[in-house]
Amino acid sequence: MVSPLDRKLLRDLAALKGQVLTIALVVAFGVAVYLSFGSARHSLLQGTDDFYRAQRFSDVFAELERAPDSLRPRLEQLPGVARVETRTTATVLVAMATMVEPAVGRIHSIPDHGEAELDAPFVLEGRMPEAGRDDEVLVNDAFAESHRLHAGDRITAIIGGTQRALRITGLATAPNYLVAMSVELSSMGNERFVAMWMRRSALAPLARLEGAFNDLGVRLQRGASARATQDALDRELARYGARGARSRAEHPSHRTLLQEMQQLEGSATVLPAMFLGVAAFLVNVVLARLVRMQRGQVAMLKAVGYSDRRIALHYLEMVVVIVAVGVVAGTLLGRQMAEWYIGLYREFFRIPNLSVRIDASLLAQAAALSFGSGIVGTIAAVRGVAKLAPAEAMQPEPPAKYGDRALDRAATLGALGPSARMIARELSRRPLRLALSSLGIAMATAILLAGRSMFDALPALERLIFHDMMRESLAVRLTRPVAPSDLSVLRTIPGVFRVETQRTVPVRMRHGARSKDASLVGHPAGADLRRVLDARGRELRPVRGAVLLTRPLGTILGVRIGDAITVEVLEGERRTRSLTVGGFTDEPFGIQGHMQLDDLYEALGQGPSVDMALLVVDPREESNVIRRVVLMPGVGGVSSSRAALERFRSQSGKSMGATGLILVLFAGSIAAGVVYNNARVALAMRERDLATLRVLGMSRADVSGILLGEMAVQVAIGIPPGLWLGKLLANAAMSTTDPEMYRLPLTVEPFTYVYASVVTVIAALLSALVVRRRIDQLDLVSVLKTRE
Amino acid sequence: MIDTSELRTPVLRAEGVWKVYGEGDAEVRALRGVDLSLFAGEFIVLLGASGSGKSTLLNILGGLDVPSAGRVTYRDQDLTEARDDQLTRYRREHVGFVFQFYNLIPSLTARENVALVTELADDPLEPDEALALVGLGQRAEHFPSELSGGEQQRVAIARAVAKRPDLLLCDEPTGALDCATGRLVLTVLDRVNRELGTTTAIITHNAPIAAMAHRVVSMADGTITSDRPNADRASPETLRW
Ligand SMILES: Nc1ncnc2c1ncn2[C@@H]1O[C@H](COP(=O)(O)OP(=O)(O)OP(=O)(O)O)[C@@H](O)[C@H]1O
Ligand SMILES: [Mg+2]
Repeated sequence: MVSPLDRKLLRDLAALKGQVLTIALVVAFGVAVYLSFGSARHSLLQGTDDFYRAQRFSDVFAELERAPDSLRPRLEQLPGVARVETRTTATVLVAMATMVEPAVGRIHSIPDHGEAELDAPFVLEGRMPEAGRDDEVLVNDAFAESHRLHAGDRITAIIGGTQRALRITGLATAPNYLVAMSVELSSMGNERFVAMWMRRSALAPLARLEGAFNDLGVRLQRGASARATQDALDRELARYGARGARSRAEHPSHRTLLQEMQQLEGSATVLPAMFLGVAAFLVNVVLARLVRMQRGQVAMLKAVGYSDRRIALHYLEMVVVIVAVGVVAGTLLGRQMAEWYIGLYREFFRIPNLSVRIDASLLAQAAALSFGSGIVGTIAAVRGVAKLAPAEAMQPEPPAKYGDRALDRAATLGALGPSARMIARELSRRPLRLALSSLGIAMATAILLAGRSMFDALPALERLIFHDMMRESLAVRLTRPVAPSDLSVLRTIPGVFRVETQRTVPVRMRHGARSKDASLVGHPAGADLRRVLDARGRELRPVRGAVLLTRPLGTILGVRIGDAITVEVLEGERRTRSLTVGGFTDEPFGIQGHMQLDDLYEALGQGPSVDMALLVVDPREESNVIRRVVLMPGVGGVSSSRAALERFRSQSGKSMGATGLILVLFAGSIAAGVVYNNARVALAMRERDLATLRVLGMSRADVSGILLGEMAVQVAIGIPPGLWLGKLLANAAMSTTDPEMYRLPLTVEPFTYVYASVVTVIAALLSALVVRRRIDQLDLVSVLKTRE
Repeated sequence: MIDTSELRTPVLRAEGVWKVYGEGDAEVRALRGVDLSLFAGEFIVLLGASGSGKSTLLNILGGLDVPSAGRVTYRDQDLTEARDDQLTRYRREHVGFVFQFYNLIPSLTARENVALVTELADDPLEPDEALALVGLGQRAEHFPSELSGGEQQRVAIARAVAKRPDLLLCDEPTGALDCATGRLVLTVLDRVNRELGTTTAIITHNAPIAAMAHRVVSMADGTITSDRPNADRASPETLRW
């Protein structure tokens, strides 16, 4: 049998359905975000883990110039090494009809028979290349997908300077290409980056590495330290032109993945915390009010012998029902969101069988957090229940205490009309509620601002990269350094106005006990196409004998301007030199040092050599220039700044639409939840007062003006701190990015402030309208007749 | 007819009860040494000016409140020493309340309001039986908002008597009602007192109601000023005020 108290529960809930639903919605969003981000993270982790294991992802990687195959047994004797696979790789360029620039990437060898021992590609479509065929390749699926390539298709690629007609036998993904992206912004995007695999004896002659290797993967022994093995490898491989071994943690694909996980974890903490915090507040507002309104009922229940605990439980059950509705809705929504999220991830993280799994423990956590915050929100109400003396059932509720407030005596109040005075008194009587309501509004505004400001960084970033830093039309990357005079041929191509050069070398920088591998870029005196900037956008020019460091690199090394650092060149003769830190730069990507080209030559102990040419070309001739440059020997890639800019814009436009909609939904639910519930509660508490005012001759507009005026004040007070909070949130979100990979300028455009405020106000207005309708429908007679 | 002059053991007994609210300037002495005994099956009416301490006394007798000094004993149980949960049990097992403002739960029907109490009791009347007792057998499915004030008060009485309390304490049960409706309510209380033998105490401002009591107690300024038996009980139907 349903007990009368449970009936009361159901009927009270039905009467409060608007409030029940708005609170449940806020809970649902919190749960949905928690579940979807949590399960996306979990799926990524699990999927990656399984894939790494199945495809035998290496623990340590090294690239070198060239070493004989016979070296392998020696390497396997190094400390910590369980297994070594030596491989051949080369730069590959693929000209696609749909793009002006060629796609750039790497082609890797797989053993002539069977599968790779380490970092094995996983064939998703088609088959492995046959042994003995020198024109068969696997292509990474992200690239294939973006160009609609399939097994059986033919493409033309330039491998080691030689143009080859190739047949695609299959599409694959591999643990070292889960994130198949170039580290360089100019070749961002799946369609611009290609990874290929070819049987070793077919690739070796193209890479001119017969009987030799230039790349290796290492599987460590259980418990071995990557660092120790890296050091041993570096010593062993130094004379073969090794660039410094890298651990998994430094592998670009793995690193990007980790960074994404970290961001997911951050969002999966902050957003649900905000939602559940707001939910707790709303539960508190609604329940505290309900208990106060039902004080006569509570006192009567006590008088007839219900215990405090039973009555408290009754109100707790109410919250449990509300939260349960939210948890169920949130779980359903969370599943949908997780699907959608994983769908987005598939575009970037090429993990086969990436599936959504909302496991029980995650769900249990979400439920526990939701019920926990609901219960926290109920504490005040339950205290009210315990505090209420049963004898109060005998008396009508004493009038609320007003007056004797500083605000009342303030001169300004006297100047206000009676309605405004009522608003001011009501608000000043409950400063805590006003503060919490405004905090809720602030959170809604903050979510909007923070979400939207992610996109504000983009125009600033665009200006910075494409206008201030990269001023060339084409960047031509060489596979190996050449004498500057070898590049004079570029100047003779029709349409080329200007040519500048650069040289980049891998180095290990040391300062005291700290060290970091980075690259050192040499700029010729008077160069102007690639500029080095500080945070304020001022150009910095390296002076003789000094090196400029990317700011995070300076932090890692713990250096200040004027300090000396030791720089060990990780190629050629591996010279070591001391350099003075001349300043810090603020480019948004990577970590590197900049110095004058002549200083770099000195450090290298070699004659002049360059590995990059920057071209200014006639826009009308750009594609012709690219076609000619691609076929020149030693060219490892060509990027067009214009095409990069277009890709950058279309990419950012795409993500903006979907994210914007979700943010508006999230923030809207919070703003509406706060405003609607506060107004409903205020209305319920003061129905009699308002009806009395109407009886005394106030118009509907006057009366709703009082209530809505209170809401307006809450919103007005909430928005400014919300904007500030939003900026903090944006800052926090930015700080979860890996500073060694990229750093975005944090800018919030004036429009974003307006946008966040306006959307909050609209959400508030919509809920105000609903409440306003109820005020208009106020039944004077019945309100005044009932005593409750 | 019960003769109250006979020496019997009282059901409930208050001895030297004081109740002081606030302190210092704001101190209010609501009760100043009250002695009162209630005997099994009797019907008493408590009269007195507003603020004389009637409600305060009734609340203390009903275990809704505790005195600042003095003793209240229910049979052998000392209520002044009782813990909160013991007071709750005392109310649940022995006392029925009727309030001036009915205090029905608006979201529950008449029957459900009564069931609220019968749920807690050991040997209650059926809710419908209790409603029939107050003449509202036909209105069990109605919500409080669908009942008149007098009907609501009768539901409240049904709720109070349904658990067969030993004590029925009513604070101005007719206060919000017109004379005719009030008579109806008093008739019900009288009937409950006769048929179930429930010891009943009623607070009222309407002196004529005293005519239906076994005993009339008057209060002023926190003390009992007179306590006289009423040998010649009037039937509630005949009362006018
Ligand atoms: N909670 C309280 N705090 C302070 N004073 C109180 C409190 N409750 C009652 N009093 C005071 O105690 C005195 C007795 O109150 P009580 O309610 O018992 O009077 P009453 O006889 O029932 O009056 P009425 O006929 O108006 O209901 C009054 O002066 C009242 O102001
Ligand atoms: Mg009273």
